[in-house]
Amino acid sequence: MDNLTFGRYSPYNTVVHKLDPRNKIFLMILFMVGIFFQFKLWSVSLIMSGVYLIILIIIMLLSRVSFVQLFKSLGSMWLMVVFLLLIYIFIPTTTHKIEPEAFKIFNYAVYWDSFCRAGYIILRLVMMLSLTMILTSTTKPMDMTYAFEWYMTPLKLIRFPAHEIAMTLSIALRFIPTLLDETNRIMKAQESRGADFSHGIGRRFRAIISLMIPLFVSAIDRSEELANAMEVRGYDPRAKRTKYRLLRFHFKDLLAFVLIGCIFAGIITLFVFDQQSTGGIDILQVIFNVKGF
Amino acid sequence: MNIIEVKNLTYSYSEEQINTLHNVNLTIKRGDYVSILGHNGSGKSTLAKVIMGLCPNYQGTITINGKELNKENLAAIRKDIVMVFQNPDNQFIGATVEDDIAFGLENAQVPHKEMRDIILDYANKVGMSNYLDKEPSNLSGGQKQRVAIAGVLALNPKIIIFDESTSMLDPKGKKEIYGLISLLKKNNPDLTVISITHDIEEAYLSDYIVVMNHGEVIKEGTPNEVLKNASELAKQNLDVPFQVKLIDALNKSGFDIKEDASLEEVGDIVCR
Repeated sequence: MDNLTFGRYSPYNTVVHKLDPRNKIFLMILFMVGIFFQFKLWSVSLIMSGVYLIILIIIMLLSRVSFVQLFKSLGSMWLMVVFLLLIYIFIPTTTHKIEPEAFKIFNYAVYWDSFCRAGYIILRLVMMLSLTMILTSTTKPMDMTYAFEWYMTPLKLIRFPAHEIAMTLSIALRFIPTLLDETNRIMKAQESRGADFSHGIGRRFRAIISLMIPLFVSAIDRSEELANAMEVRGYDPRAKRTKYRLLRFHFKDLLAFVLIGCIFAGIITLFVFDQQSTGGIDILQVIFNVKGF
Repeated sequence: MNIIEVKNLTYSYSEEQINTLHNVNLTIKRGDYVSILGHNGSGKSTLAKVIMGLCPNYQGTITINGKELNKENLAAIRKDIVMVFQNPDNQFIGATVEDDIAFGLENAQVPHKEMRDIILDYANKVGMSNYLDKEPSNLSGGQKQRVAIAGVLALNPKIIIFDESTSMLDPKGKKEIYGLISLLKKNNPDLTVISITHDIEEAYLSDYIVVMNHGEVIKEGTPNEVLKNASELAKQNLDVPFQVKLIDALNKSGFDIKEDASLEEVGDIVCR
């Protein structure tokens, strides 16, 4: 159960924690789009990645997200790293921007370029991961569901059940710890009756069946009782309800919105010009008068 | 004045099954503390669910606070009558204590500005005001039940049904809830409390007792009337209250004590 700690909400009282969750989600999506812009020149893409990294680190420091936890969760990405490397090595491209051969496997030339591309993709994935981690560890799960509900409100016009989905989400979140407790209890009960959760795939599979069935039965029982409890307290998904938690867009939200918005407006403008120019915009040439690659 | 009237109520969960409730007649007076007593499978929880309107398709009539229970009246009746369930985990809807108390208020369309005060007030009444931002996983069973009680009390009901609300709690939690119920009764004498239980000691605290078995009401009356006969209670698979057991045992060994004597009177007689 320990690997569930990734991105869990940590109750600090920082500026990032206090931002409106709707704002945070919007800015995160903006950031993610920015990360996946591919510029025509390698040097420009790398410089932009550096810019993103600096912004990310500043936000992480501001929101007191632990770097240790991030690096720990990166450990589980090794399989993906290997997979990406293999793909980039064995999918031949006609243009190798970074030309020199690294080495040969049975006469198959492996270029440094493949490593660079794989590394670049992984860097972007790591940035995405840290972004989501910043969001989830500074925003209460419930606030997140309120934000989702707010974003889905326009869909109510086409009878999309926005409120129902948000309510379902929030109840699911509420019951995660309860069901985890239950899982542990059933596991112990079945182990004491001879189920084996730790040896051999066949045995483990059988043991997991003996865990899943009681868990499902109890979850269904719970849901019925919960439905009754909600009905007794007057819940009607179609009726109008007032709200105890109101999302408020404060001045600091506006500030964050304008700041990050401006940065990304700049980046998007740069990207558009880059795509329209024939050879791409060479930032190194413009600023330092050094030719980029 | 009768706040609940049940006439000729018959109910079964599915067509082929035998009736879970069979020809139940019951009247409950406003402001009473009524215990519905019975062992497992006697139909006492089903009776509560039917009264709450959670089980439609019953036969007979149910009138609650002057309104007959049917589809049109259901929403209005739900404003008068609430229920606290058995499992403290399965009725905790909000993410935190305050959100859970707020859930019913949101449904009742209480304006946002008033909610905070109401929540604070009822959290105070059940002694949970220091736990407002706590999540259910950090609370004990008794605390969760107290939050559930605050959640339904905030709706300002006329009747509260406790459906074995203490059966999953430890002795300390049980005591807290009993204390809370009697406090509620003291502060608001008009509140009708119906407690469904198989705990005879709790039933002894109430004003009126209804004993159920096999889906029928087999006995009703004040605790002294219903609980005085130890051997008959044992026949219904019910425990005998300590006090009744004591008097029974003393009478067998030569004392002559009236069946409805209080513990103090028993003490006086024995010490004489």
